[in-house]
Amino acid sequence: MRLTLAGLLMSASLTLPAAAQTAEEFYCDVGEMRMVVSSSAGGGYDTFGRLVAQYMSRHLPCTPNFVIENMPGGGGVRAGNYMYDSAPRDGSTIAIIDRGIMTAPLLYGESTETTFNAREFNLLGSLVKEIGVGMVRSESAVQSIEDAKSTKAFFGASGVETDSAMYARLVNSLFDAQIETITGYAGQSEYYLAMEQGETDGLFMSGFSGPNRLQALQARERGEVKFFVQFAREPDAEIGADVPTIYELLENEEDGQIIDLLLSRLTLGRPFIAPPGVPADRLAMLRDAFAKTVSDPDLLAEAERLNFRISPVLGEEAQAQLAGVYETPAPILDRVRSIVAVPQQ
Amino acid sequence: MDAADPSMLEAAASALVTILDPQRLVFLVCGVALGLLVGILPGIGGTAGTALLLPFTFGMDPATAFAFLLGLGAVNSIGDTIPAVLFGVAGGASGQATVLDGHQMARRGEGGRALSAAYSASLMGGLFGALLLGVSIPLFRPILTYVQSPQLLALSLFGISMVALLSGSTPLRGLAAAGFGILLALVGSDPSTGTSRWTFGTLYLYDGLPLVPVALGLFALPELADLAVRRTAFARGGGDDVGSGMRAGLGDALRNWFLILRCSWLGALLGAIPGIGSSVVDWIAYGHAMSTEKGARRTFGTGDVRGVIAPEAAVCAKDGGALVPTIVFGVPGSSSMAILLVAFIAHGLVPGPDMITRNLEITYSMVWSLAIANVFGAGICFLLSRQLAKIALIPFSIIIPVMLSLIVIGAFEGNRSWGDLYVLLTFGLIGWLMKQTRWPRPPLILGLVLGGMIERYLFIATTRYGTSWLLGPLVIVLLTLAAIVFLVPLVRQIREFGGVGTLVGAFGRPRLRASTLFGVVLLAVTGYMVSEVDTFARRAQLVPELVGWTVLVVVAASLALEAFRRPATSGGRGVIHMDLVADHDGLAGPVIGRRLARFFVWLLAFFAGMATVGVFVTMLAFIGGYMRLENREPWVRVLMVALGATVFAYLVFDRMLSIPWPPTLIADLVPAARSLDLPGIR
Repeated sequence: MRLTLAGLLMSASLTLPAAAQTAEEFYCDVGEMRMVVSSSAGGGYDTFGRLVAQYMSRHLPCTPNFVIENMPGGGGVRAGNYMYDSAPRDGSTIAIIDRGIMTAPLLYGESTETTFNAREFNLLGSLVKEIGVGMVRSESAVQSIEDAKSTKAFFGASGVETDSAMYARLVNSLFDAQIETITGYAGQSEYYLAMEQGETDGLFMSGFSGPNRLQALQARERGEVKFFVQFAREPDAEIGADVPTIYELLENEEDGQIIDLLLSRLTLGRPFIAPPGVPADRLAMLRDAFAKTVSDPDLLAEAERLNFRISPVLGEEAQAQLAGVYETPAPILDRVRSIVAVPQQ
Repeated sequence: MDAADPSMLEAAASALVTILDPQRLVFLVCGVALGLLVGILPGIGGTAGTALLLPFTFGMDPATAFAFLLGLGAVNSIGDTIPAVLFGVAGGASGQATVLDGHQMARRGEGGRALSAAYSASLMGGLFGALLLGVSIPLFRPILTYVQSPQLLALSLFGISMVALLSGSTPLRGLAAAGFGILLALVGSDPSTGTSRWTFGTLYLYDGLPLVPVALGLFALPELADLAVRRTAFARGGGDDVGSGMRAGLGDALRNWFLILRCSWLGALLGAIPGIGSSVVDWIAYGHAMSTEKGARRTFGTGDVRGVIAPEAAVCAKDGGALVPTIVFGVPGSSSMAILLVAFIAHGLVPGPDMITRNLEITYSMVWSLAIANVFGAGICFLLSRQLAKIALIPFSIIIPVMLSLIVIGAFEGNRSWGDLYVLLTFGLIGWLMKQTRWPRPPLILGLVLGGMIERYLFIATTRYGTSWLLGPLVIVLLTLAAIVFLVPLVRQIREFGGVGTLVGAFGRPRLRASTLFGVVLLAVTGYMVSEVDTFARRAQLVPELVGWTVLVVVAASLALEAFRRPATSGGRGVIHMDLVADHDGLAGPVIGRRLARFFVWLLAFFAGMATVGVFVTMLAFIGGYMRLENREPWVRVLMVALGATVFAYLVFDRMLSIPWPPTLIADLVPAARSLDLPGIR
């Protein structure tokens, strides 16, 4: 036992990082890179994480292997706390993390379990800028926001704190609409099914890159589903210009700022982050590698086969985007908070 | 559309030809082999394995890819049977029902027969399930469109009504355990209000109690504790009547083909309902067999082979069912199906009507893959059952440390955090207490799985339809069935006591028994939980309050009944206790206590080691230490077993599954230890 301990200390002293290690030397010595995924295996975040891990390796010096670590819990809060509190800050660990938690401390304040300052994370970027879509069954009495002002509609969601439920509160608040959200569905596929079955009238998809995107597009082609609003600055090519953006529907100027804030959240897409305090040269190398990864022809080919939409946001842009969100003027922030807040019942 | 539609038959036939292509078969068999391997390991379901292999399938053609993935997923429950029968420790959340009769058979030296009956039942069940799937494909969409939240709610209620059957001779205790399970299912963030219920401010409980560590704690740990007390191999005497055992097992399955048919269709139907996992399907099949098979109420739980056949057939058929909502609606029927869905998209397939028209052939290739995987999986195991049965002869000093290590790691798969280990330990204690004091454990699992669904669908149904949801024809049928299933055993029980009058007349002087201990604990815990309900948002109070008070009343009644009943009338005549009973080979009390204490110390030592020097160093030292100190095994054997098990666990859990191990003390104290990159040290 003593022998082992001595050996342990000796080899430890040998592998201690030399003072003047360059970023390149670091990634050649790192052995293994870790990619933390804030959800369990199989979901959208997981698939994106694995895709990037597979191709990012070749854009780092000495092509270190990536190991995927799924760390589900609290809708990404656990992985966020981990990346802030305990993950090594040497540039060997990165994460793909639920976009909601990047702004959760700002929007929900005291009521979240987050222990991090989101602005201190080092964003690497995202493969996609997300947009949101509202859709209804074609047979439903409600076919537009205008209809929803006078007719009650049921929309499905998994929980009150999810974006799908939040969009309904937003639309109700801005347009005086009567959308009642039914929560409790196990996931988006379940409340999408509920719409197909006629149990609900429609749903808001936050992030139009999820697994039900193709289903919805095909159902629209068959005339079973109608898209009635898109949460995007400009009309999305796939959704089409005939579906109004939320901006086009707004009735007063000031509301635009509210949408701005919520859309910046969406633009973060499915963010990849590094912990705070990663040495600047390594961070630059990580961001550079990520940028090369998202334009890697092999990744793009694979993404196309997987039917993923790729519309990348790069590190610095994402970082600025996030900083912008945190600088929202107080009055706007208060209005947004009152909309996203979960009503007490 | 007619089931005998010629175009359908054509698609089915050409899909069969596709699947029988030798190269595809090779991948299918590879998937099967991997699936069997991960199935033997506790806690590691097919989900992790499927996720791992997913990227490799992107380059294959769709039929090959699904053959590979389904091969892996389909046989997972087959691998599970080995530890369930031989050690009385089911590997995952499924297979728990197999333990009841299968392990009894193994202990009286019929392990070979139990295994071969189980595999034959799995094989036939898997085939029947695939057959049902194949024939009913055109009906999928219309049927499933009809099954909405009210129908799902009624189905969940029907599932929970099974507790009456699964409580055997102790109906009140079963009811209380099921209610307690429902309360546990409600722990965490409530979807309709966002209220955190009973999370004690922890992030871990925010997502609710994970099923795997709970099931392993409830069922596996107590079994190991009792083995540590008995200190013998699992099987009595030498070996088995192996050759004849295998034939006998096959004969058992063939004789009970109708039971297998019923259970496999039950399994396939239940599998099609998202959320009802394998952890419930096996118990429901078991309950069904007990209520319909002749004499089963008296022999189930004592080593009746039909108690092995029923759950195995159902669990094997379940995957076929789980495929249905995945294919036609994109709603995954189980967690491994969620990963299959990713593979769908990757191959340009979109779940929906296309899958039963344009892509019908691919759908059929999946049905065939499932059927063939079952044939291979169960066939391989059947042929090996002679060898496998010998595992039961391995001495306790090897089984205990190896299984314990694997169970702890397996539990860690729940949420991959320390919380999983606390949950494992807590439910280990609860399970052990329940086993000792004859409280049935199956109802608790049933409540835990179905409780969350019941509340969710109840809110959806009432928000959407008010009370009119109760009037749907299917809802009425299911609720009536539920009432019958629930009430008949209770009424029969009372009648066997000689009616309510005798029951009351049998009351005598209050007596306190050791067995009331768990009741008192349950009363206290539930009382505390109910007292917390006030702090929840209003909508989140309803179900916990209702169920909580029911549990309190039932436990109180059960305690009163026990305390005041005269000993002569205790226990229903001829009705069996629906769970394993602690069996200590007539050892003296102090000996039992001492050995239990030792086991507990070993368990804590493992946790302490894991926190200090990481899981693999601990595992090596733990297995070696246990073998040396508890049974003075020769050093060569100690080294071989400890090293072999540790290396195996390292390869599977660290290299293959890259589980994020918790931080260790040593790495905090001596940061240099971290840079060594020793496995498990972080």
